[in-house]
Amino acid sequence: MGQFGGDGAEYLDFSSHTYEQLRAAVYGVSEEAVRVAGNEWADLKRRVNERVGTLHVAVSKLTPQWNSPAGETALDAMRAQLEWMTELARVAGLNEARLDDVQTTRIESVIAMRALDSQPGGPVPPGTRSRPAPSPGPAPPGAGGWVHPASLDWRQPQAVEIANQLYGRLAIAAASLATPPSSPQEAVALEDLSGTGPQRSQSGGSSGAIRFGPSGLAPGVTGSAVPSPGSGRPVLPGWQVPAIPAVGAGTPWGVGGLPGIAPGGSRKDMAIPGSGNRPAGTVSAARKPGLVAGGRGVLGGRPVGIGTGSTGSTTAAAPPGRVIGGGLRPAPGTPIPPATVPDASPPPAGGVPATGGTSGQPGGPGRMKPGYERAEPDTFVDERSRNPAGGKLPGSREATRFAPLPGMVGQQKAKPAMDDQQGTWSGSETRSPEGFPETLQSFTHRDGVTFEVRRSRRGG
Amino acid sequence: MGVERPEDERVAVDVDTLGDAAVEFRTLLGLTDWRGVDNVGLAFGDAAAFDPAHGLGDAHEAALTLAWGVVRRMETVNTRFADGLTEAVEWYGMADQHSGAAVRTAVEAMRPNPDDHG
Repeated sequence: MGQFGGDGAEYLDFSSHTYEQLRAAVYGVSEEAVRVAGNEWADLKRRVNERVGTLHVAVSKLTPQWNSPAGETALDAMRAQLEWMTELARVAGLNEARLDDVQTTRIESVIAMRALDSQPGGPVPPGTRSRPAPSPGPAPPGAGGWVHPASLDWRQPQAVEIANQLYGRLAIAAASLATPPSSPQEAVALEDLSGTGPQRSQSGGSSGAIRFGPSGLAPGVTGSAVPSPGSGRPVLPGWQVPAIPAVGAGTPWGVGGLPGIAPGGSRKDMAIPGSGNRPAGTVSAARKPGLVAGGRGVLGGRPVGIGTGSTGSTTAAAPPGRVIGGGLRPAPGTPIPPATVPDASPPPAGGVPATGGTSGQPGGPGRMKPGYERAEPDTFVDERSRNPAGGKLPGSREATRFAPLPGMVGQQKAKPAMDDQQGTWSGSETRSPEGFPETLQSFTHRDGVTFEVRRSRRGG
Repeated sequence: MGVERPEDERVAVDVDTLGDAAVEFRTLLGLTDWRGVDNVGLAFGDAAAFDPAHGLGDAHEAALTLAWGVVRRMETVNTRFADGLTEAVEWYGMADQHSGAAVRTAVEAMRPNPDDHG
């Protein structure tokens, strides 16, 4: 038989069971029973929540009027009742969620078991000519280590994984079912703990029933008689709550999973909002070059003027960085000296230095303006100049029209300025082959062949 | 309504407000319609032979039983609140006493009873 400890959370091992036993164990978990139990808690949560809202309204109505010691006493009793009912509703919701987890795992396990059932059994998988593998698990007690070969089933190891997953979830649910506080004072005491750790049930309940603090689940919290450093929360001693994995996380049957099962909880591409975690390979909009500060101000690949983002730190917590123009970024709250504030004086002669330029003549426009700057006209639609300081900017170049040279075919368009720049840097020149003229014209080659250049219309 | 109030009386209870609160407290009743005790137990069938299923059934039964007891105690307290407010409203309207007495009546009716939470 399998080994179980406590409620079965530890030493859970079904490896000594036969395939038929495992099959019966998985199918034996009643869907109806789990569903009814979950609905029971859901119904309680709904009923209590309705009354919590009503009581809250009643207390709110009476509070401004019962302004006396006697009235405060009555109101305190009502508020304690409100806390008690709120706690009961929360516990009911937690238990409903635990049973929902069980139901989800049960469905996954049944699907996986059905997928196994659909395949023929036997010592070896179909199509395999190898010898039967030895029994994968320890021999049953009293069997003397001998297993009848006819009882071997190649599906047994995968069935063990399925049963372990299902019954592990049952054990976790058994250990994490919460019990409500039995009195308003206990509910208030739980609030006063201000902790998040579940509390061992003091009265009633099974050995596995635990009580949760106001903020819910705290998996893996170890009890301590003294407040844990850093948290300042007193925790009842003498108990330890096993870590509760997320539903579907860590399916034990391998990376690929069993046929028919999509391992849940493995969405590595999802990040928790507000947690600062971000899937690998992605970048937030604030960190994308070109989206930071109008696409300017990236020095050495580091964006200027924003926080670091992924670690959750902000600009206020970030060390001073360099700013455009040199020097360190002023610390938050530091007044900016007037000298660093761009004034409205006219731009220097020759235009405003390009912000994105890396080369070019002194005083002239930058060579590599960003695309949006090249496309931006100097005058807006309302005839305002794009230079609010009133300086004179070099006029944008019109597309130059020219007469086509001899030999040009088709509609010739003016080359964009980018092509000129690329040509400048490319360094490759087209030279005529030996014996041919540099200009396009009719000529006679030195071998006597006459080449004649004609101009003709397309299709003509 | 003629109400005699002491000079330092700061309690100004509107009988309509008291009546509304009494009605709202009355709507809190009926929580015991949740008959959890009748559905105690997780019937796992054949799977109950395995310890984890058996343990979950026991834990669920214990938690449900405790919750059922809590619900009944809550119902008792809510009933006393509603009765106290209703009595205060009736007494306040009939006897034409000042509002402080009405509050005291309600408070006396709402005073926690140790037997409720035993």
